[in-house]
Amino acid sequence: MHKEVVAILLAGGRGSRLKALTDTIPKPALHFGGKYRMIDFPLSNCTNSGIDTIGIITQYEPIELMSYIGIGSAWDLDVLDGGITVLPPYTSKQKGFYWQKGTAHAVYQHLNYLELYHPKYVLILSTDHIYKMDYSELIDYHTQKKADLTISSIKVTEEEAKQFGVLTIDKNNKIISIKEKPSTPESLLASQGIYVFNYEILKRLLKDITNEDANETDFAKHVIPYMIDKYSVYSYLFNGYWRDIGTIYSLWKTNMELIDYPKGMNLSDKKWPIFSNSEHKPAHRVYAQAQIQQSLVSEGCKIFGNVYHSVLSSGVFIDRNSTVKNSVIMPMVQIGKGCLIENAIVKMNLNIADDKKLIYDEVMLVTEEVLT
Amino acid sequence: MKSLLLGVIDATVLYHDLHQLTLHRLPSAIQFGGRYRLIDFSLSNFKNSGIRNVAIFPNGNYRSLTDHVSSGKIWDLDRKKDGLFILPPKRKIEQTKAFISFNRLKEHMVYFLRSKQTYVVITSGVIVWNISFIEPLKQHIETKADITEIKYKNKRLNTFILKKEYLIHLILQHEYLGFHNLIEVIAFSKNNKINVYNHDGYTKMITTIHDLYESHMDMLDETIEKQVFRIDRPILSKTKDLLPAFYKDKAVVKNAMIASGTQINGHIENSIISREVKISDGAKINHSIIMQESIIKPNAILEYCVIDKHAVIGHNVVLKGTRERPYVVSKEEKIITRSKMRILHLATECAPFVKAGGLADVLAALPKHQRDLGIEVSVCIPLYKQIKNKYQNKMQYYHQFSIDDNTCKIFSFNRDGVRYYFIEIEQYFNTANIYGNEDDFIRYYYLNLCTIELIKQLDYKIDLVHLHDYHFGLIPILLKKRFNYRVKTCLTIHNLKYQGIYHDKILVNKYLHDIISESKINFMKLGIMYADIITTVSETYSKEIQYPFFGENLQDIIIKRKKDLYGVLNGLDEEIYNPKTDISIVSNYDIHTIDRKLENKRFLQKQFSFTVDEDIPLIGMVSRLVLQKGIDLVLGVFDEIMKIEHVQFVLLGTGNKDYEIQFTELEKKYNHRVKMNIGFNSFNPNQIYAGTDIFLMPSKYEPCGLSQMIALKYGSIPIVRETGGLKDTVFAYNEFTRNGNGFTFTNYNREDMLHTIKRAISFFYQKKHWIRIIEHAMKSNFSYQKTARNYYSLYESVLK
Repeated sequence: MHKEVVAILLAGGRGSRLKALTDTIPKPALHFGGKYRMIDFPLSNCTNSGIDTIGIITQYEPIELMSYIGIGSAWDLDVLDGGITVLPPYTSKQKGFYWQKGTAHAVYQHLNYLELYHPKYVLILSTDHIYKMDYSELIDYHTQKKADLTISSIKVTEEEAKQFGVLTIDKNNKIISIKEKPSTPESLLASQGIYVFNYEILKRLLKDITNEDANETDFAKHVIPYMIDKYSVYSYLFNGYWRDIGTIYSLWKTNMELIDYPKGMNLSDKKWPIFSNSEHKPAHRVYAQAQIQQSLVSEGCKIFGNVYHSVLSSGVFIDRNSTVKNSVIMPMVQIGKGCLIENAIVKMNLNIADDKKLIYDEVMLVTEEVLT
Repeated sequence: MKSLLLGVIDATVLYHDLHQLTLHRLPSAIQFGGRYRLIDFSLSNFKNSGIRNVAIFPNGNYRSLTDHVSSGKIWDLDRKKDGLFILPPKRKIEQTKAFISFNRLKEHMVYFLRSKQTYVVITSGVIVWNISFIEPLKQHIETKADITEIKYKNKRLNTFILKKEYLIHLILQHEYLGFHNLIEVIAFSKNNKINVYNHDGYTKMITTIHDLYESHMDMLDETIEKQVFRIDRPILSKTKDLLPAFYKDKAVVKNAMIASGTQINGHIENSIISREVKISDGAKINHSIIMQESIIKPNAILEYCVIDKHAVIGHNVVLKGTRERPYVVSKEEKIITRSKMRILHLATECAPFVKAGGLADVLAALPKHQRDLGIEVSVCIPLYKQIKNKYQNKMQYYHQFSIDDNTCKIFSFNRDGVRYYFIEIEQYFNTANIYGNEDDFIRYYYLNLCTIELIKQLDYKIDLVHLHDYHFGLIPILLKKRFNYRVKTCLTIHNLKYQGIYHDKILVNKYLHDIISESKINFMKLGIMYADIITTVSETYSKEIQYPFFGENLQDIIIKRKKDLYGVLNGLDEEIYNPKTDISIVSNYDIHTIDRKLENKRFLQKQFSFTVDEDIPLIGMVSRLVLQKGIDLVLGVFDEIMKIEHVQFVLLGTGNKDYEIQFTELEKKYNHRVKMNIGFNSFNPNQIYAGTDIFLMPSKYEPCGLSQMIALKYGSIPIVRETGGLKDTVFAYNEFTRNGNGFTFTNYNREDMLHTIKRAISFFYQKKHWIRIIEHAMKSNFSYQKTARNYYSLYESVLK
């Protein structure tokens, strides 16, 4: 079966800078905005862009992620030809067993999946970002430019540029160089980690430069720098809202932007919905003593206390005389009476005893360890 | 474990009281709890009981229902084997009254024959509950019952468990056995062993708006909430991709249930807010249910409201219902008036101040109910001597002005949130009798002029003047032609017979030469010609007056105003006319205690020295004795009526002397079977309504009619001629569809009336039918709330 575009979602990473939040779940399964998970964004973008064949490469703690994805019906991806295929590390007679070593190596391991569909283009996506993007425009641009590889990029500040792969381009948007996390950025154009490859070229390259014994093969570090000189590699400029969730602070900040800057990530826009595999919970309850302002409150919450400028995920319980302020509360957290929580991200399923004061000047992750 | 149970949902029953919410959907598709539809409860209960084979039998408009349940995937019903079956009617849709009929089930016999399960649970799609059917099934098997009925506090829930084989037997044999549905089997079959299983968690069957409202408010009770939304048996519904509820900086929310996708910037208390509702700043929502995607604009105030899907409530709009009768806004309705509407009623009588006829009662009830809708209502009437004597101490002096040497004083009085203005023109209205003075033309001419002056001098602007009958008929033309003052007018014709026609050429010329050229004047005609909208007090009457028989010579002018002519049925003050609370009758009763009505009948029979026997039909009439009321029909066949075995007759009335004499003769002739109570107030009319079986009202014409409404409320079954308000309130009983609340005949013809009386009496002797008719009659809804709302939308249409 032939497909024009197949997307590969790199969902095997842990996201170690997110600390205890990703102890038992991989970053793609991380909760965001009360009811979403990180993977909802690229998956919904695919569905909205008309891409219905997606391979999801998993490795780190995949169980919760896989049960969340299911057969992809939440994103309308339970289709007959294509749909979602979860691609775990595997053993085979020819290759034996290898863990994935780098992003390009992970794709290399699953070339046989791509071979099933023999696509014209392969779209490589990660699950690190909160954004809405029409990938079909990116692919149109890629074909228009007759490119071998197109990297989607975004304008950033000089400070931000130091955290990303920085691109320098010519006047035709052809990429001249790429530098990973430079201390003195040559431009303010950062790679978003979204790539469109011509499949034939990708296949050949991966076979050429990757082998089972290499230490690591990564798109950003190895494949792309190698291609820039020899192939036509273009930059596509993305203008929309885009946030990288790499740290506890950026996770907190981006959650808060849903309240403070709702136009940025408009989640109630019906033209470009962000789908998620919602739980079956009743509408949330606010009791007589409660006060809630400037907050997002998910289904199944029960609130007796005060909530200001916070994001509450599903099933959160806040007892009487407690106050939650400037915080992100992950699913099923139970907060006792008389607690004060400020500038925190509270890890899921946590039970916070009565009268706990968790007040921080800088955003802090609250885990079991913090409580003991 | 393989389930032994097959689930059937009866979605064939329609509930009249829910009609505002069921215009576009079946009752089971009504939204509940912010994110559910009523049917989710039964489907989830099936799923949580391990049932994997479910059939839904819908009637009527089931698009919304099928759209919602879809493939049944949410309840694990998209199975290869078994699964979800929606089984629509194959033949003509029969009206289901209480429970799905065997006939309807028979249409899909194949489904029952093919299914492999041993037992069937049949339930309704309108119950809010959380039950596992495993326990009742176990009990059903252990007790070896034929049918197990699941009840809550011994209340029927239309939920039964029985063997599939037995159900198939009943479906196939029901005609032979004489049963229409399972409920009849339980009620009348003597050989069956019926087991009752009482469910102990919260349960509420939703058959009225009040049920729906109460049940929502119950969800705000923590203990009830826990019984319904259990973690071990979740209620499942279609999920939607929506942002969590967004509380903005002005949100104040107390005691509420709020679904996703909502945006809140107003006050919410004791309410349920569904998905994607927007509540703007300054809006205040209390004791209300707001359904999906409705928008509440800034500073709107809602109390005791049920707002259906996609409605818009505009800036500053105030809607207030009551706990008993919440204010219902239908799907996609837009209520957008910018500010509080200001209405001034003009009438010549208004209870309790002054009363000559039914108009006074309308003016007593309507303004209060309009006030409840958030309208600023005032009423203006002349200050008659009798009012002055009784109320002078309570009134406040408001204003004074002179017109053509006549001094006019205005007094005001606030009562129940309605403002009353009394116009004192000493020269003309300081009279003992209200109507029938020789100087009527001049009286009403100055009354009209002074009223306009009052409207102009009030310290706020009136949006619309509502005129009742002809007395204020000059106001529209005077406003337009003489004063060029802009205020909308609405004329309500309570009775077209009285028009205010004056032939005095000199007077007419003297006072009205600037606006009319004719030599005679007709107040009603001018009102009809110049008012912005014209209404009659029933829909049918508004059609009838376009024909010469009813048109009183104005039909041509009325036809010209056809597009501005509406019918709005008067209401009945249900606080006054309620057999449950009426202290003037011997025995109080309601729809659940109809047998206590018989006490009233026995009382009447004893009082009148009739044979005391509840099985004898007792016919009553409470009527003015005038031609309009069809008295000649009654007199014409009275002997024929009395030929009907045993029948007893009582009349309470006054009027035409000839009629009075004839009736007195008849009373003598049929001693101990006929009682004539001539002269009003000699006997309590409510006791007649409460004590009679049949109420006769064969009017020649009837703009609205009040007696038939009272009779219906008191369960005295009306026999009426199909005219005016009678046609709009009394519906002939049909023994096949089992609809209807009375008996009617079309032509003004004594044989037809006699035939209808005989027909009614034949049903009187068939108790099953008769009880049903009484139930339908007593359930009739004539609330003034409805009347007030209908006028409200008319006002809105003209004020836009």
